[in-house]
Amino acid sequence: MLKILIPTLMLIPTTWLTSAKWLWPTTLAHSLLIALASLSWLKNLSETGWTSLNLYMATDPLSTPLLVLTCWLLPLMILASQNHTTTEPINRQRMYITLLTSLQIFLILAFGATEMIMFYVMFEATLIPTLFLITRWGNQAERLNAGTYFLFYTLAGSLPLLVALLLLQNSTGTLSLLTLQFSGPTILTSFADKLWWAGCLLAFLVKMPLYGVHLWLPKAHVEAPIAGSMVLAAVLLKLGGYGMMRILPMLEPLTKELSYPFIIFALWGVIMTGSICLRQTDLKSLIAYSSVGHMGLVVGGILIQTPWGLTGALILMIAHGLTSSALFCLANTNYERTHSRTMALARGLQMALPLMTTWWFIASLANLALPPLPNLMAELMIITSLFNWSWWTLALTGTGTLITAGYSLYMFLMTQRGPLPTHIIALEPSHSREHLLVALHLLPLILLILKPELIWGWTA
Amino acid sequence: MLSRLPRFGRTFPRLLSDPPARFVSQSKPIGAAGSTAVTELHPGAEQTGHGEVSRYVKNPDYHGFSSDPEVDVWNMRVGFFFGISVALVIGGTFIHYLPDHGMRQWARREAERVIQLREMKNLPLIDENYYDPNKIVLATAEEV
Amino acid sequence: MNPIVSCTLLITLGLGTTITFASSHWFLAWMGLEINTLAILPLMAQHHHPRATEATLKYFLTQATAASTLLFATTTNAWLNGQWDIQHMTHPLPITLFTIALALKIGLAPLHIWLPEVLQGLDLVTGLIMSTWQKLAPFALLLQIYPANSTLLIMLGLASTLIGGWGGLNQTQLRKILAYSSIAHLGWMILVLQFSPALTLLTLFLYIIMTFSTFLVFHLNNATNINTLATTWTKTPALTALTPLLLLSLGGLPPLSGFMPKWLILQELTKQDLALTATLAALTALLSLYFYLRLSYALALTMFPNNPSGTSPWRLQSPQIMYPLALSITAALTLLPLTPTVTALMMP
Repeated sequence: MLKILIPTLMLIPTTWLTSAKWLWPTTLAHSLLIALASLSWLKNLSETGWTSLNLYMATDPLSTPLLVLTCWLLPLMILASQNHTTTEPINRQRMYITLLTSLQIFLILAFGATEMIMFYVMFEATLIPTLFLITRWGNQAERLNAGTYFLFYTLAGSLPLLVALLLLQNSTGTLSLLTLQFSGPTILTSFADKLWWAGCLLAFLVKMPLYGVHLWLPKAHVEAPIAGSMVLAAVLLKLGGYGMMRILPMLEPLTKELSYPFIIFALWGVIMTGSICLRQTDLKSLIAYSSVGHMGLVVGGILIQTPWGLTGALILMIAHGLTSSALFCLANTNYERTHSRTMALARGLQMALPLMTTWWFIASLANLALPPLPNLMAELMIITSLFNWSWWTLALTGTGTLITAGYSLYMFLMTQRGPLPTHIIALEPSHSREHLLVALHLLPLILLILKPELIWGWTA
Repeated sequence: MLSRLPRFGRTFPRLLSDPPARFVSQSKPIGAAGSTAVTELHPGAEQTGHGEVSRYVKNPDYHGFSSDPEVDVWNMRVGFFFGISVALVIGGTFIHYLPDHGMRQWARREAERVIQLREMKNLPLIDENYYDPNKIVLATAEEV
Repeated sequence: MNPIVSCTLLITLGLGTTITFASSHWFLAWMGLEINTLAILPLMAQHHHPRATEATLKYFLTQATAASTLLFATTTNAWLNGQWDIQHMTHPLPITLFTIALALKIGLAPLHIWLPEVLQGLDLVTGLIMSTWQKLAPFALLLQIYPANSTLLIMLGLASTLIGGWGGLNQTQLRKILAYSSIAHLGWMILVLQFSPALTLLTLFLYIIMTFSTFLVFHLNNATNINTLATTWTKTPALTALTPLLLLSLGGLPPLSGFMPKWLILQELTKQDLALTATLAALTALLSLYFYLRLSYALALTMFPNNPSGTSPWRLQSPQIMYPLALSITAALTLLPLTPTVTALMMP
């Protein structure tokens, strides 16, 4: 654990002590080496699944993929932010990298924690850097509104979680993740117990976000700078899914009945957000709503509590993390050239940026879950397990998949195909930096299908 | 020794009150006298702005990293070397040669070997009492 | 004000509080409180300004009411029990009276209405004394009498956290916002008083550290309303970067120090089967967080357009004494990892 954490901590002095000229190459190389070192977590030989144990932290097959994703995302964020921060003074660029690094530190501590309260504290700690990222480095005045929404949605959900966790600690005596699943089934009958059940899940459902409590996400995504959008879509939403997977085994007897409305909301959300995407004019907002839709599938997969459902949910979280982050990067390349997120104003870009179209194509296909990408594997597993739970879900998941394909196609056709509008003149050709950035998103995604057991979680 | 302390007394508060330069240039320099002093402080802050002068004019081999051609090309090399060659290739090799996850493939191969062996010897594939019944403690009728 | 006079007044101020700390006799404790009040009145009115005079008068009236209620409670206690010891209170009537008198003295809702008005009339240094040092003596008494009326305390606590959050929402004056923040924090302390007095003390200490830093930051920038905050970065840029964190720490966001008392208090409340109270208190903290967040937005997270010459004041500033501020800000931001140590120290 420390072999990743200490280099990540040392990235902050690196940022402040490197000369201004070599700031970006140095931090990029440093963070990529951290990402490489983090792959060693994937070596898991232990019987129980828990490895790299120390007093406070450990990894297991559930947290390892998310940890590696976190470490992988920092260099990508650095790479993506390099262009739009060049006009800032050098110390503000350093502050920016420091914020991104601190976010990674908190995320590693959150995913690595072996104690629920530690997880909770770190879950909350990620709010501050993200808030600063959105409200300080966003572009428009609405970013303050977005920051407030982000903070208050999350906190209103998670303060009951703190009380619920403390109650759990009083009844079981410990909140260690290593032993919690072995604690005997609790008898939960009263109305207060049901509220407690909801309190335990609400924070994570808001963070996911579940359809109905998702309003903060599109706002935050639209207003955040590119690195903020990337980390929000790729990792921060996954904190919610991870937390749900961790806490659900303790809520066991109640979940069977109480999860119905939430599953309905999640699946209904897949269709609703998909439909919203179909008539969306704002590129970043479209990608954000598509995230809500995919996360709805994840919520459904987790809440029915079958091995296939959990596996599918974890795979979808990883695959969606890489895909949506790549889409945000692509949207940002358009934004940096046309200075507009409106899709109608930046059409037909295949004419101007032909190679970028390839990346758009692959990313759109990944978003609509084309074989052989892990996205498809995940959606199939979730849809199958939901179908096994109740036949009626197929109506919702099937329509949802169809609509997903529809809006992915709409996004691709709208931005890439057709004639180039006449007002777009003298676009810069795409940079090597942007190709590298998208390649570093999509190559791992393609490679992952060759060894999906890395992101299977507990199953198989 | 103690006589030195007051000297820290003067420098330390300065550390707090002296700002890093990032707080200086807030607005776009308008070309007034005050702003020239500000930009002199920040050789790193490049004033590209939204003037949309293509950076390819200055540097036809622009890679999107930096307006300084030397830094640009080295940043590109660093990115591709550490991103593709080191992280993806070496990391991919590492992952390819990882021992299998939780030794499950190994266990399956071993099981298949045992089954072949038992089929050759015409033994049943698994003993009726694979677990020693004496070692299994079941709840008695009263306890249930 | 003449330095000798102000020095005498400050020493008397300290003396009053110390007498209250040291006394075991109710009469002496009351005397300490009165000395303390009388010493701060001239300090409050030192600027000859209508608002300051008004604030002094309001403060005098409320404190006199509180002190006379306290005196009435002591005599009742002496009449019922025949003794004046602070530690040996048995009858519920004087205990309840004491609690109410002290609640008025520190400004707990619903007896809080004087506090924002008074604080608004003071300059920032006197305001700092008012919202930190002046809370110590009443708390010393509250911690000793073990108030047992749990409904009263919980109602006082919840009302304070709620009103402290609510009242600050549409304020633009920093001192009023800080007054409401003080009410909300005192509510948390009162909430846990009957279950774990040591925790109350810890919360009080952390509240004092954070409030001290906030007042000093505002004092350094001469800021008394939200609009002036917008240009603080031209005066002390590094401090301006830290102040949002300080404000969020006051709001109780992890991983900052301000989360520690909230966490421990919630833990204590759930241990006492008061989960609903804990949830309500936690949710009212969101109200306070809203105005801290608004201050942070104005302070550092938005950059206001400025003329080029407006960016230079930091270069003209003479170095000021900042050790206390440096220390208290560090403590106000980074104490959370030390929670086990701190709890071991405070609650042996």
